Amino acid sequence: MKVIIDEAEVPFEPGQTILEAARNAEIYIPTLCAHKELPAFGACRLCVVKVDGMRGFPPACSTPATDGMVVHNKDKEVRDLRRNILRLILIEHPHSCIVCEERADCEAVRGGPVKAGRITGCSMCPNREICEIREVCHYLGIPDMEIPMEYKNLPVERYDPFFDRDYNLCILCGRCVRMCQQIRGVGAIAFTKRSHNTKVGTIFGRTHLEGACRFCGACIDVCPTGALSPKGSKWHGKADRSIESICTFCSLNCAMVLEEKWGRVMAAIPDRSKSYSRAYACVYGRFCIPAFLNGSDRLHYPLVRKKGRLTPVSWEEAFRFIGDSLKRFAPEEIGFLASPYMTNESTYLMNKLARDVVGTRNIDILSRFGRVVMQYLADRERASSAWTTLEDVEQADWIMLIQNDMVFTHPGIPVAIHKARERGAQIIILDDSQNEMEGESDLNLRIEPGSLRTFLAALTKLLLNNMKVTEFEEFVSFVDFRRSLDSLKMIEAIRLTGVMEKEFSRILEIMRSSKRGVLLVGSRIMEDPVPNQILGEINNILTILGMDRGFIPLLEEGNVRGVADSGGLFGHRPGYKRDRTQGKDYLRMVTGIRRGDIQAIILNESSVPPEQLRGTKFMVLSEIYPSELDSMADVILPVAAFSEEMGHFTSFDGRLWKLNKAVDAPGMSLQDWEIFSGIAKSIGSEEFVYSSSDDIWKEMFDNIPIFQEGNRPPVPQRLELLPVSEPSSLHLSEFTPYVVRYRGTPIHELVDDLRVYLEENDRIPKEDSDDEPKDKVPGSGEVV
Amino acid sequence: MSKTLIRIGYASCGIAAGAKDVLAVVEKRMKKGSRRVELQKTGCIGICFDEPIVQIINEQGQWTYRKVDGKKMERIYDEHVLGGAPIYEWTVGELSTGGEVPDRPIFEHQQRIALRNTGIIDPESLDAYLEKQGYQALEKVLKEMDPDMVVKEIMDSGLRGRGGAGFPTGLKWSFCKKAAGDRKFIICNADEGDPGAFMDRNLLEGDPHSVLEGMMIAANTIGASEGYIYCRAEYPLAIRRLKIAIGQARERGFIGKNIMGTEFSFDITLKEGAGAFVCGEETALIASIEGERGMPRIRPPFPAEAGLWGKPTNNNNVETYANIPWIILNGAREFQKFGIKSSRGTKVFSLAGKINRGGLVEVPMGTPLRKIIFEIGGGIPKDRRFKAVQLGGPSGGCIPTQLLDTPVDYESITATGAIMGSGGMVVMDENTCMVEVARYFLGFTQNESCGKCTFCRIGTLRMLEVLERITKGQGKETDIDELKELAELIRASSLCGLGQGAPNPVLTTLRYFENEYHAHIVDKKCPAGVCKELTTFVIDEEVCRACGLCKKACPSEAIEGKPGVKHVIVQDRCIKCGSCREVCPFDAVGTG
Repeated sequence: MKVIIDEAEVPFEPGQTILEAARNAEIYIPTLCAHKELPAFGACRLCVVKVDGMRGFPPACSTPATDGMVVHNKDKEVRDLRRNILRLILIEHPHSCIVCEERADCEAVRGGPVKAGRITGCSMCPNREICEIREVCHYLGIPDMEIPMEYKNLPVERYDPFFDRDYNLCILCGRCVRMCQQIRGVGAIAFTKRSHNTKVGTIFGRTHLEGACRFCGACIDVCPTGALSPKGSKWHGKADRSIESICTFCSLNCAMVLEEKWGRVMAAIPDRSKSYSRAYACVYGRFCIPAFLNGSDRLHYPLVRKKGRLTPVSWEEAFRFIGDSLKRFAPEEIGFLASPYMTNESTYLMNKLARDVVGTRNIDILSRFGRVVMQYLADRERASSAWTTLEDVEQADWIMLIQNDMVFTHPGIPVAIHKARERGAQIIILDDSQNEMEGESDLNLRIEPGSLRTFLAALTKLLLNNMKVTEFEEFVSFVDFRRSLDSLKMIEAIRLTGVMEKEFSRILEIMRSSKRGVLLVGSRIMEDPVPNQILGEINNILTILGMDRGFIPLLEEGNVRGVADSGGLFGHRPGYKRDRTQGKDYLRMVTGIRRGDIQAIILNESSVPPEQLRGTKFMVLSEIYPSELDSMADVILPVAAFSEEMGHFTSFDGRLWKLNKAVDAPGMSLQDWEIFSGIAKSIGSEEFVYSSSDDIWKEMFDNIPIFQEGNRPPVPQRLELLPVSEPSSLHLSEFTPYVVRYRGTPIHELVDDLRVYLEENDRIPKEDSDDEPKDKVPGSGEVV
Repeated sequence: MSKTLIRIGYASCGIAAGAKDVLAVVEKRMKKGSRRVELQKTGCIGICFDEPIVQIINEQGQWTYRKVDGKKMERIYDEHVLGGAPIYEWTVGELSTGGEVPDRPIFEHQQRIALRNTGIIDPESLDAYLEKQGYQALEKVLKEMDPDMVVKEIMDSGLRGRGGAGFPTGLKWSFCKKAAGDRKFIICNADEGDPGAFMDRNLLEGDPHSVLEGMMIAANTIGASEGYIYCRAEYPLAIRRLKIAIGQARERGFIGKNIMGTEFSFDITLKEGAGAFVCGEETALIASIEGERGMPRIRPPFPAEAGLWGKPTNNNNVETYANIPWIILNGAREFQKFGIKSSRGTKVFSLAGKINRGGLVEVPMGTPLRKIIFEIGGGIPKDRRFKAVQLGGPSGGCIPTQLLDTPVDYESITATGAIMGSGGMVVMDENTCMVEVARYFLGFTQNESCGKCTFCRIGTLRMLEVLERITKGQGKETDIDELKELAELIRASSLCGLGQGAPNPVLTTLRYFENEYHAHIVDKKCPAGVCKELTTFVIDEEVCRACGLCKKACPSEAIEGKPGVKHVIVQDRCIKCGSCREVCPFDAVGTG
């Protein structure tokens, strides 16, 4: 099917608008309110066209293309009308620079925008370089502006974290509102007032912080003017270079463009050029990357403890010292703790160093939740499979949220859930405390604390009612499973969980309605003293429902999955080859340290509580910022952060993403794999001959099937049903909610705006304002 | 002696005029005991200018008393109701015997279809409605007709949307009927917001069940089982009576599951608007019901395909629904008998402004404006000259004297530049400034713009600024061209009816009264003496009889004179309110 736009035949898909057809054919139709990520709105009217056989001037953005339709886009009438519209738009938007005759000369002289309190022209506007109004003016020609500009004189809103709002520049295209309400599902902002007093604002004019804003910054990314601007990067002007990479603050690994200027990452912009769901992005990725990475106390030099004091040394000296020291210990006395933020390549070398060079089996991931989940799955040969993706979440028919705080740990996922819900998916929340997603739920089950396993057991029992069980009879431990269910009393389960019978039937009804369901399981299941029991009971439910997919553990750290894939997980070599020899996992290593079985620890992040490591004889710590562990470390090595290294990450769903180096690491910092190579050489290994991460990747790619694109095995058939536990009130283990961090340092410790946001939402304790400002990282005074 | 029925017009118009006092008197007297007297509170009888209206109906006939107050009512009760002696000096006009409507020229040219029960039955009584064939049309539809027959019947009747746009109702229903969807909705638009319009209010206050029945017939036809009435919150009495009606219908099984033992189930939700004019626009209305800001949405998709909550939705005006049961019971052919050409049936108008007999009228389509204004409406007070009639509210236009013979049908009215609209008819006399009228209506739309479209938000504001400038005597020669240019642009490229119609008052006044604009701009005079900056009031010494009325009326003590001495306006103190001109019985006050 084709439309004819100015005599050009343009093909289109049914359902596309004239604008979409034109854009596909690279025909320019000026727009301000239309945006490819947003539903059509039809407010600015700039895209009006003439269509043969249609009355008036229909807007291209919302008029469906029909076969043989004749559209006039360059007609004089159309052009005049558009210029008049532009004229009216400019009345509301400071435009002195646009109409100024000296504009070209002026801009040639002035490189970047001039920092100013009030913006009255482009020369003061932070958005000058990417201003869509200027683009439209360029296309249509600058209209006569005999009517003076009407400055709205609204106060510039600077009192919220992360971004400023100057609604004097706003042209009311409504992109931010649509983004916030319809795409992000947050609805922190809306149009307020009416007529020419219409303004985008919050509920009752509250601050964004007090309102519902989650500071994802998506509004800024779609704003065609400089009305919304990020505080951190608004005055830097155009970046020197833009580097495609990813955000590694959580396991979604959103696609990001890192903007480099003056040798630093100045901004990180979600890269939605390929797929929207690849870059939902959130407060952490959108706003915190530059501030976090450019902190003034990044480590610059390797430090070695000499006579009790940490002293800067050369890398040679550091490696020599490490090599000499390690020789004092037997292999089984040495433990490796892998940061879940290092690349797959670095992990591969850590594995090699630990298992092949040092010869120990004591290696595990530093991740509270990720380690348990990956171990559970790896032991059942599920860890290497392709998992449920965000696209599956978007397409799901029902979604169950179990014990998670995704709004703060994975703020991108609620966007996918909103999309699913718009499609008609049912959302069930299963939680023992207040869940921020309650507004997006169809069924909100607040269970009694500690009753999760009882709830799951009861659900399993009800699911099996009216079902033929013959197909399960061959399964491992079926008899025990059946017996455990028979002894479960529903009355008891209802009493313990606080969930009513009719709520149970509702949940059953939803879960049975479709196999396209997703269970998003958060780290708060770790409150249970035996989280594996919970994972097992969830597995039971999936097995009974006949769902081979649909389980998503909300892995927290950036590369938990990749580190497990690449040999960082206890008992599993790269690609989940079983490590048959004895060794110690993380918890045994901790007890080992106390008992003196473990003498030396090599770790590359600072997330371990110091008391767990107390007693080590020798400790090598790679990190990017000083930490509490510094006082115990014998060697501290400065390591490159994700913007400073090359390599691969594996997101929670098992897909591979490439890190690209944007800037040089500060001082003498090296990448993890370079450090491991150095250590290997210092203890006499000749095998580490890699000159770049590409070399390592090539070796991994050639030898380990799961690293080849699309080569992950399907999820194996489940053949196990775990006996459910007896209903009881559990004594919960102590659990502090996860705060997003990188390499052990909580992001908010370096980003004050984030600290304010998290404090406001009770994610972290409020700092006492009377106190002197604390050191950002305790123990940092140790460094010479 | 048989029973005497006392009927009190108890709609907003009656209550505002004092019907509560009248009712109190009757109730007090009735307590004293008289089995022969029956009291009935009805909706608006239509003679709003003469409210409170009381009708006494007995074997002898029917008497309509006008402008009744408590005292009058006492006498009427004692002398007429009990004593059998009508007080002729207070009655509306000629005495009539029998018949449901009082006999008077005001009703002579009317044909009541939508208002068939208004002013006749007690709107708070379902039984009263049932007596007037209430819910029989629904029964007929449910038991004897299939939906296709209903659509055909409505299409044949030629009924067009009474909200103003005039889209054929049957066609609209057929679209929604054809649309695929697991759920469908019916909406009744009762967000009447045009200045000077009160048709829907009085209809809902006078006969709510007919609207409900119309909605149910529509619902059954398109396959909907849920309905919404969107009524503006400024109509508390209409809302109260709707609630009562919905409650009664639900109680008696006209609303609910398996209505009249058929498959058809239906429920109605009443949604109150929060005071935004634009919510009368159907997509904005839908957004408002959904809990969103009342902002028009783009079409397509049209509500018939994806409306409320994204489901196929049929939206009609109050008056349209009220017509439906009548058409079903009497047949399309009967309905066709009224009206002309492409506009069939009748139309309700609310007469307001400078007119002797303001009120609610229902006339067959095609009735000339002159007939409505001069015969039914009784012409202009004080025999002033007629200047224009404003039709269609803020999106409508002003029709001048030379077009008074225009018949009211959709096409003829549109040809004048105005629109049929929902039925507000504001009559203006020679003392009305047409520039000021344009400014008033544009100010209204500009203020009610939702702020979405560039033209409607900024363009109308620019036009308003120009008009304000003109009324202040600062107009420029180029202003008229600028107004015309902006008006055309706004009309051409606004998203919704509010924006597209906003320039109409300006365009029609420019079309018929451009000389007044010139007077303001070039001569710096306001011919009607309304625009303060351009007006001086003077008293014609020849005509003045020194009666002193103007001196009394002047709020700023600007008039000097005593009995026997001709009065003079002291210009320094004059605030140009025009009160002196209003009160002068000899037309001695003029503008200089």
